[in-house]
Amino acid sequence: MSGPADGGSQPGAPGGDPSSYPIAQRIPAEVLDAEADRLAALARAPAHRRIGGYARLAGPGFMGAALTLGAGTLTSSMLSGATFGYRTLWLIWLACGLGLFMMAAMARFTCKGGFRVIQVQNRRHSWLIGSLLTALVGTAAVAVIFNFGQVALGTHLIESLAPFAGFSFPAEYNWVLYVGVTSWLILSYGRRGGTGTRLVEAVMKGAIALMIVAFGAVLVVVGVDWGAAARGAFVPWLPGGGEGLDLFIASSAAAVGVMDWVFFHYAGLGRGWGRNHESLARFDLFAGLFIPFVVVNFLVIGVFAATLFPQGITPESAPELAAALMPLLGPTWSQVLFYVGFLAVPITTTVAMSLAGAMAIHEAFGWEPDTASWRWKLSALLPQIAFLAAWNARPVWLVIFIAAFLSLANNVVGWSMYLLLNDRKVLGADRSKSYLWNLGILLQVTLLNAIAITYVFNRLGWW
Amino acid sequence: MRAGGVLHRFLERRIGPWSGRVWGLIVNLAGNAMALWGVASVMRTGDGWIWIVIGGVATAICISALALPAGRGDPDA
Repeated sequence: MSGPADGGSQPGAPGGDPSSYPIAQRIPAEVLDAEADRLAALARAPAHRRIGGYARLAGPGFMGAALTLGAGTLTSSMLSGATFGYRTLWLIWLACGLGLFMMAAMARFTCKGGFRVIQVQNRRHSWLIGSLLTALVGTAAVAVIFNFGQVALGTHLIESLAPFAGFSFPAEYNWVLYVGVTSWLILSYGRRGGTGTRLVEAVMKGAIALMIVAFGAVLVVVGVDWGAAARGAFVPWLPGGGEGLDLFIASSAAAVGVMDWVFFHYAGLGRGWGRNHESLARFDLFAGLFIPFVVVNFLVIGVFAATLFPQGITPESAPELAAALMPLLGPTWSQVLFYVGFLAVPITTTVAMSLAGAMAIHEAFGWEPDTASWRWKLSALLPQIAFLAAWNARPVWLVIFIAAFLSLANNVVGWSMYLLLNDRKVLGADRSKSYLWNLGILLQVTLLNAIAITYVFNRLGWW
Repeated sequence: MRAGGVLHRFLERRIGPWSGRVWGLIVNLAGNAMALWGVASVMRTGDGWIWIVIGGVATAICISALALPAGRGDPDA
């Protein structure tokens, strides 16, 4: 770990040039210059114009929301709603809000640091923490393993939607459609002078809007107990005993993790973000990541709290939950809308995870990311091996191995990020000078520690 | 003010292989483990509150201290 003696090296020096990231180099200089001019004008504009302008320029935060709002998060929210009603709504905003402190650190590394964080970790904290734990375990391996869950859910949803159109389209065949659409989006990123990146970002924004409209409309159909929802959102409640502590730790620390940190940082570099972009990056985190994450989870918990919870129905998997919900939704259009909104969840997560994985693999091995190269394409499409999930094939032993490694590694990566943010040799005058910022990061690090500790206690039979 | 200066110097000084901040993170991890060990003991046997208190206090102290940003008075500033 860093100490005064291990010297800051030049490439990690403060104030690097973010536009030197190869994906950003594909964006024409005049486009980057025009964006810088626009940002300068927005900084002087009234608040309402600034917000509108930032919303158009934002992107990596929405991509982060698309990454985080995956099959696992949504299944967890569905289960929470079905099991506990509205009572765990408060965990959603708390969990994501706590994660914003670390995400703001990533924005600082991108905009003011201008360096590639995994390379700096390698130099300051060893390749074990940078290349291995952050890039390969925390991001690339997770992208491959977690994509099995996305493909399984996505193909199941396509199969469930097809009968509404009057035909059958089983998962064993529709995986070709799922993998084809997601691969096209994955390979569009970073292409055609930056327009490919903007296309992917636009799809992510549209998909999140679709989720909100779909789940919102379904919630209107099933009705909301506003009193219970307000209490659930602002009055903390947990089930008793170990179950409550498990739920709190898992929800609080899992909303935003290593992959989200890495992806937001590198997606910002890929957009050519520099010193003038930090306000935009923070806006993007709030409006693009926090708000969509909270709203979508609120809506999903609300739908299941209003339907399955009163009947005491608690299926265990996302397909079972969705199937149990259908008879309670009433009109056919609301069932279709729910499935369509739900389908946007795994699709966007597959795309974002694959990009995060490709960026991480390139950083781990010191390769320059060239989105036109076969190396990039293979790295980015690696998670698509999860098409096997269409036949219910899951590498269980690998999931257990990665989950174990991840539980024990996440907190160490969190330590590393906290140390970099406070490292004068890395950020110079741009290091953290805020007690509150450090405090928020340390609370998240402590929750990540708790996950690692409870994992070990579980293995030893103590928990 | 003086205590803050001492703490700042401790956090940024190299002590053995690592800086004070790294040692603080390690002590915080130990505090977290103690508190959770206490919770596990209370759930199993009803005893172990002392571990929750010690671990909780250690965690609170570590987090409060480590949240201090690196200041101008640090070594090598």
